[in-house]
Amino acid sequence: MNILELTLFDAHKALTAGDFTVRQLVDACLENINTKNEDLNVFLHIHTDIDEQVVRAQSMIDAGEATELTGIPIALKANIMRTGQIANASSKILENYKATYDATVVERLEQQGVIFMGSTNMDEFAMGSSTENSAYGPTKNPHDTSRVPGGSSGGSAAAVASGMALVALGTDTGGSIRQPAALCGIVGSKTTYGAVSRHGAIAMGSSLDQIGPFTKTVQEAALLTEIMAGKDDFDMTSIDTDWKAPEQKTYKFLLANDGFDQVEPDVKDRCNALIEKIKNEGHTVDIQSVPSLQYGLPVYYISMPAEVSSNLARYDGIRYGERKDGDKLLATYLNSKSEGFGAESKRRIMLGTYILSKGYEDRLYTQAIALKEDMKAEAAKVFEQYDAIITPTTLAPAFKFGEKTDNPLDMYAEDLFTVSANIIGAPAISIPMGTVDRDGIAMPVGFHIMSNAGDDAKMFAIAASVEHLADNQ
Amino acid sequence: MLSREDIEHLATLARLELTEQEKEVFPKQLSDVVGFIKAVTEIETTDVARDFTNVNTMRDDVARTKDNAEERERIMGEMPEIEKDLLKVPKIL
Repeated sequence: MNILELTLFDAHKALTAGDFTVRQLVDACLENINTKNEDLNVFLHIHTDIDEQVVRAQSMIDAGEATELTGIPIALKANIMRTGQIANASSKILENYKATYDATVVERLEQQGVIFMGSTNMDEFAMGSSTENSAYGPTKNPHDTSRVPGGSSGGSAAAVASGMALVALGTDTGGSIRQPAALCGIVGSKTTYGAVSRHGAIAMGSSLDQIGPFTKTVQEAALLTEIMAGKDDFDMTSIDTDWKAPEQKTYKFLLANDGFDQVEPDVKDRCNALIEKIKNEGHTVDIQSVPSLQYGLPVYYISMPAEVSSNLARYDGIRYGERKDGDKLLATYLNSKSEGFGAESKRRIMLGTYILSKGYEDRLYTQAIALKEDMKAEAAKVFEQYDAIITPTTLAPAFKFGEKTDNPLDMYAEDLFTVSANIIGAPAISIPMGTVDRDGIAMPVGFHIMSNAGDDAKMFAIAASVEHLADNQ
Repeated sequence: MLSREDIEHLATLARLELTEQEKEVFPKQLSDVVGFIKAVTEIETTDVARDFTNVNTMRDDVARTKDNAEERERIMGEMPEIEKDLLKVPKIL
């Protein structure tokens, strides 16, 4: 069977009809892992209890208790905890750390009988846009192995794009699901802030982080999200969301053209071609600047490092993780952190320390929080008139390894169009927008749709109504 | 512009030790980022945005694990060093 041509709905039908068994489905994924993982470096660890999971899922199906997710092989980003399995966030400091509890999303999916295949590679502590910041080597893009898969959830995106799993989970703090989804040619989404519990996701920027799915189609992403979503007592920022999409056949889109001049010409062409098709379906597309969206990236690089410097302070080698002993306590801290963290983690910890230091906190952090509120207010006004703000997901397709590693600001620009959704807490999704030619290889690019906070169901409905248009390009 | 000394000071505050190579490249890299984010310090924000405050959400602190002994064992298993039934930490003084 070809995993790359199988949606979870196809698999569910085949599993319940007895066309194939859970074992056969899982083996087909394992076969792809065996043949491709050494080259692509997608999985860091295969979970140790796959056989038990397969038996349980098959018995659910045999007993007629299957849900649409029963027996579906799923990959987990290495910063999402599953009891007893290594969750090291691609960092040396957590190299052999085994999760001591289940993330809420893991618990909710386990009830459905999914098959957790393993933990995928990522930028260390989810900081990066290429997986080049992983302590365990980068993941390669399945479409062209000389190029990055995007990041930080690059391993999860590549897992789905190479058929090592049917679907995957990632985390998105500034674009870490949507950007790799775009660069690997699949669907990736994040919810309204709080709609999915963060309990059990290793924290990076807590006011921005969200867990979300990677899939081949919008409907699969919507289903996974709905199963994972909902208030959770272990995450006090979690909320209940209304999953009923409004009865609406046509939508009003706003192409926010801020930064559009930086988009590479053939990516712009793809975007404009899709917009034409969207208009032909009876939807409305206006073009206009939303000036405050331009604050997104600088605001992100103030509030995110500030939160990173607090969240990563817990890794000191004392209670868990890798301890590198020194002659005094301070030396133990220094040794553990210095050997445990890579360069980007160090940069962001120091940047956060700078931002929160005396004299700067008010000018930078407080200013960023105020700008965030003004961005929310401007977006709310846009969403009174429009159902969604659209842009390409990225300026360009996947770049080559090493192209942006020496210049952090270049790398940070990867999140230009995705980051505002995290700042204002809005739901957003990247869907495939066709391909552009790079060195004779068709490289995928993505189309980004952001809706108003709380309108998750509507965002999925909008994306589902236009995804087939992009497929035909 | 952040100097090499500024970077070393920040590293001390953050309890990090930098390699020689990091001390070479971090001043420029971090200065670039600081220059980039400082661009927003001059933007006028509204009073509403300035007055924004977060609200605490509380719940009772109740243990809800399925199996306390098993979870305890897992947590102990992740500790770098244990003696008897306790986490062993380096001497503070």
